[in-house]
Amino acid sequence: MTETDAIVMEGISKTFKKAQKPSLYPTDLRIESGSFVTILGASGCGKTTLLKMVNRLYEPSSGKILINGQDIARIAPTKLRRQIGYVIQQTGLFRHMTIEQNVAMVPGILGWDKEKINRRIDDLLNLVGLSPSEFRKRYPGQLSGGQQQRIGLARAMAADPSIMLMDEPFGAIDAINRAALQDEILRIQKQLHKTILFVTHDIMEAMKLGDKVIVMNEGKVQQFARPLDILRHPANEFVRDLVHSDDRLQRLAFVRAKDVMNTEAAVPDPDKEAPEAPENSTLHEILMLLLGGRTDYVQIKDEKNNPVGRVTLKEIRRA
Amino acid sequence: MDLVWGAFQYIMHNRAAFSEAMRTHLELSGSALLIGLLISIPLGIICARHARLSVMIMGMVNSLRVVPSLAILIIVMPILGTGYTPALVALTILSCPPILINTFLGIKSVDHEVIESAIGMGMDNRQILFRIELPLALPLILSGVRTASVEVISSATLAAFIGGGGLGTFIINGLGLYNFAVLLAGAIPVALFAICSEVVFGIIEKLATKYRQA
Ligand SMILES: Nc1ncnc2c1ncn2[C@@H]1O[C@H](COP(=O)(O)OP(=O)(O)OP(=O)(O)O)[C@@H](O)[C@H]1O
Ligand SMILES: [Mg+2]
Repeated sequence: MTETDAIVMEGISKTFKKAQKPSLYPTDLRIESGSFVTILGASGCGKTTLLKMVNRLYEPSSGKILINGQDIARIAPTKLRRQIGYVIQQTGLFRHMTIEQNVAMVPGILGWDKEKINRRIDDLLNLVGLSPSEFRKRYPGQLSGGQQQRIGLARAMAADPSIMLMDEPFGAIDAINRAALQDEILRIQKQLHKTILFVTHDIMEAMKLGDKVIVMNEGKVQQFARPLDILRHPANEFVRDLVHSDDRLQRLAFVRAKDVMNTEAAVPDPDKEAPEAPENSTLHEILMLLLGGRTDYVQIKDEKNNPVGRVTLKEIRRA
Repeated sequence: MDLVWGAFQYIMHNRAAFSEAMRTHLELSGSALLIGLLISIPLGIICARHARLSVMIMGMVNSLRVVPSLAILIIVMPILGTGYTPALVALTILSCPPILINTFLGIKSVDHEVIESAIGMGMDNRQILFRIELPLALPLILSGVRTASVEVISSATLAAFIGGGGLGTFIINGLGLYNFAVLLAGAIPVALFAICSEVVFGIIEKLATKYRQA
């Protein structure tokens, strides 16, 4: 175990009582601190089971889990859970409490003083893009689905946990709002360097969000790798079929500009007006810009708007 | 109208006896309701936690519910004799089913996901019970209390049959004397109390569900 691993799983498995076969076969995983890891797989493959063992909602049948080097079996479950954010699809908001009361729950239990909690609520609501003055006193029932999920996220981050577990948090949200929420969680993660374990059965979402993706099937981890590596070197038949790695157009939707761009040609040409795109754009988006623009390249910029590279058709062909 | 006027006059002439009866009536109903609450709410919570126990107790309570209140009063008589205490016991028994059943149902009806996220964020059992389950069950519990209070206040009238006192005494006397003014002197206040408690608990219930009307 190295110091940079936030979560280490050693041979953990789970067989539920009266079940004929394990929901999770013995698994070893190392989740690097500050990384965004998505867990991808079909319904019933064991994603939730894996996730819930990290905050001891389920106890493993074998193996152990270390968080920041500490065996979680030795930490009282309530204490452990207060330092891990947990977000579920149905939000689980307390509908008899206002938004501020919902968000203040864990800090309150941890005994923070009123002033600090108050500031924290404002900060968190701003972070998830909801105006504190407008939303603090509302009840969950007065919010849209997307807004409720933002509050679910704010509540889970209330005590500033370094690890977040998210179980299909955007699964019940319409496509447009989901894309907005995905961008938001990416931004938040970049900003706060949380370690995130994010369950989804949407391959686009898994590839878009994950620094690394855990592909699961029938209780077994099939591959644990960067999205691009999963596309280029699928570990087995199952992963190959899942990512349609032979469908080029589909692949372009998974590959990001920063992974293939030509960094040697970072500086923009002053006399050409090349289209620009953030480094997290997919090649699908870059291709659209190329087709619509007048130059033979797209200028790629990082978060701070510095030019970091270019993508031409050559890079797209190679992807 | 004459009868009501007669009842009013009767009350004014027997002020001491009337206020004594009223006091007994309210005290009897209030105590029965309070003891009923203290028994039923914890029992309802325990039932919500233990499936097997709940089947047994709910079955018992449901069969208790079909027994008329007069029958309960008469059943306790051979065991506890007559007077205030047996009346209190009978009324307490009567107040339990609606509160117990609604507490049980209220806690059972809290969404599984809400409990899961409460556990997931590190709340302990006590915190979950007092901050999540009971507040969410409160509207149903209150409606159980409302039903129980109306039932107890009207049934406390029957306490007079086993010598428990209260406004029922006037009703029995009125019936015996064939004097409707006396009968109404007991019956009208009982009806008013029952209506009042219905209204008051209705208002409390509304306040407790503020978040739903929002
Ligand atoms: N509490 C439980 N008791 C018994 N079996 C369970 C329990 N929870 C899950 N299982 C079983 O374990 C397997 C994996 O379930 P899990 O919930 O981890 O799947 P999942 O990948 O999260 O699926 P979904 O995408 O539908 O949420 C399933 O076969 C399921 O039936
Ligand atoms: Mg699941």
